[in-house]
Amino acid sequence: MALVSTALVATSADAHEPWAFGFGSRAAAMGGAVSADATDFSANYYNPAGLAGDTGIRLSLGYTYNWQNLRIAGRDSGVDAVRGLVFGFAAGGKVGGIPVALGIATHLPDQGISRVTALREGVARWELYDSRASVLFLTANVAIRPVHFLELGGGVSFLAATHGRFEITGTADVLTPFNSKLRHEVDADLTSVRYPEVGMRVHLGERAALALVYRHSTKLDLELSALLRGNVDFAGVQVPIVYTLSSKTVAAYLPAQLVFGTSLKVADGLHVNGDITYVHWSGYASPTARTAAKLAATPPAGFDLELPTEIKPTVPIPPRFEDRVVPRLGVEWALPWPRPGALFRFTVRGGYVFEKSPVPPQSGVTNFVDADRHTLTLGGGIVLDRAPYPSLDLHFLHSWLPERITIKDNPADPVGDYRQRGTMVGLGATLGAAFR
Amino acid sequence: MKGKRVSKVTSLSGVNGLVMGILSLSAACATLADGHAGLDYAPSARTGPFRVLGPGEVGSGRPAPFAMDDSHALFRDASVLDADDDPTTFGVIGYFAGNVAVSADAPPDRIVAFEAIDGRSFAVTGAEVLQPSLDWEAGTVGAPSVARRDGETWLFYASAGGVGLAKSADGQSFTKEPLPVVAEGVVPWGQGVPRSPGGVFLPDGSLRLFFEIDTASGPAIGELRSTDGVTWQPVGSGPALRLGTGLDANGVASPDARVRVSEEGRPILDVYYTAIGATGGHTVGLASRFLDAKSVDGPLVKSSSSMLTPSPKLSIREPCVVRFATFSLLFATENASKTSGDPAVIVGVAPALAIIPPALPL
Repeated sequence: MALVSTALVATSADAHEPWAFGFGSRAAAMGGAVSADATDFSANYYNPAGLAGDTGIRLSLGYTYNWQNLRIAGRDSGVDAVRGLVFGFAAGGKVGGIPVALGIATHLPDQGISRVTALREGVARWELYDSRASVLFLTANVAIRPVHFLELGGGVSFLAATHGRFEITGTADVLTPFNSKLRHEVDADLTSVRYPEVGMRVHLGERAALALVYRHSTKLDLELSALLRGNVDFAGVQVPIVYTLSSKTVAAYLPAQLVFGTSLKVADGLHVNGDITYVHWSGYASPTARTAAKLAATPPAGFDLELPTEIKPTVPIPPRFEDRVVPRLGVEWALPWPRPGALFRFTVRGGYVFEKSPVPPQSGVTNFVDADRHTLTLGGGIVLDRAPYPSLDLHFLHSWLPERITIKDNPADPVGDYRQRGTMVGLGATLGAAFR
Repeated sequence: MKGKRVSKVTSLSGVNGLVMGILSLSAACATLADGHAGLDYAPSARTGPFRVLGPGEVGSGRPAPFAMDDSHALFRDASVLDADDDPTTFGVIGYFAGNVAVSADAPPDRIVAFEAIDGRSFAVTGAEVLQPSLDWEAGTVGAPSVARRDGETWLFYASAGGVGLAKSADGQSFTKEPLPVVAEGVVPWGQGVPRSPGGVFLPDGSLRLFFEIDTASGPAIGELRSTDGVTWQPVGSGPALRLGTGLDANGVASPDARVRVSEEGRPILDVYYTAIGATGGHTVGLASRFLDAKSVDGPLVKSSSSMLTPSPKLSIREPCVVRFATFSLLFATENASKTSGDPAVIVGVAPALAIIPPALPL
């Protein structure tokens, strides 16, 4: 019963692996600043319009592993690593003489396709990183190039969501718990939520491109119902009890995003990209559950059993996150050696991202822990210059979350003052092939 | 609970002290290292709410959650002091009010000190440190509250004529002030004799004394300031804590004051108290204030949550908190059972998932 009654708040998650750690090694190595410069499977996330920027079929398969060392009050908070497969394709051709393309891409976490962590209200948690990436992400898009300098694309993304119910029945022996006979039953349905994205790319001659992308907000609702029904054995006195709980919460929230991106060819083989993303964090939904619970017991006459007269509902406190602008910078250099016509081509990449925390000072009851995040990325790629052009891209990511101090207004606050900081390290590789 | 345990009252021994030190050190080494990572390490002010200790978590042969359950001497109203002022070790000295074989309704007539090397498993043998000896005490001493400054232990106690003060250099041999240091009429808004003192030294070395006193609307808690412990002035023009609208709708009583420092170095005064609810049920409440220059005499901010909520029929009262580096322990008096009026002292821990040192066997 204690387990059920504490499962009132689900750890929320703002985004998924593509947003936090990049989607595909090329994009990740460039800090995700590829909205004006992605034509492979990663365009499904960064800018669907880019799918129409190339022809043929491009396949990609990769894996990424991201360690998170996030600390509160000097101690590791135990935020799980984010890891999983990415794969997808982009296919381009012509219909009626007009270039069109379609693509599908997915991130498949290898720890499960949907997960939820339940915390009590007020428990300090890394709101934007704990569990955030560990959900299945699938996106499908189409694109068109109506004129030679303009590409348009759009599609739908899916996130896995869970609706669950569990039930425990039997007899619990208070004095000798090992004699308890309990049966539990879990019934979880995997569903999905969908949100649209659209993008546009404009080519300004051979050396520059602009991009505009919009990703709609979405949230994963978690509905949970629980039933405990059975007898509690108080030294031979059987007391039938029934405890019901229904809870509805937001397990994950993706804020709406508007991306403006550029890609400049500043020299032969050298591209510099910049993305500016406006993130509508102020729409962030509180992860605090709206619950209803009821406990009923029918003790035998004369048996003195005290039950709580009222189980107070939880009232969510608005998180009041603040909108943010996230700059991303990426550089890609196609090495001039070996000379053109050689069997292999090599590319090196780098990037930087600054994400100012949208979380306001947590001076009150809530403890949504967060800090600004600086991310440096590096990577490289190799392509065999023969059909089907097999490629291997690698990336390395290091994020630094400088220390942030939380000061409480209430001297009687049960959590009190604390400091938070962290680092993240990510590695990944993506294999590709193109059939033209 | 009658007949379960009778504590012996002798003197504290030097050997006990040595054993206490060694075991405290070993316990500290065993429990303060980092464990597995996770949300178990969520930050906590260690002020509560408290989880009542369960079976196996109290040693010295005492049945959890009781840290003291003497059906003969009726020890109660604990005031527990860190033995060495080092929060990374767990040795404590607990001062309890007790009786010499009289009924639970009789006022206490002695104060006895017990040691515990794990913070809560008090030794079977205690040392009697205070008895009534002055006329104004009228044969009763109780509700001890101890504080330490510069190695000297100050023991405030309740008596028939008010609040008394005794001092000791070793925590055992106390010298009393000849007259009550706080007596009837100390605050104009109170009625009767002040009782249940809770004394604490502030970081500047001055003293604050919280006490329970009757008012027209029920029991309230007053606050006094002093530099010498003998001469006291009221803080504010009314009670420091009075009945509220939630947990303490029917009154506030038996304060215990402690000073702690937040993780960011802000000194905070905590006052734990008995909150008497609308239906007469008791819980433990907490009210706090920052001790910066602006708010040292400011209002106490009540926590909206109960720090400990046992059965209303057990009438929990006289809370006392001792803080360690990674957890705090709450001691409070309650009826030993729903059918017995005999007092006993229970113990709880905060945060609830804190790792506490192993309980010591008998």
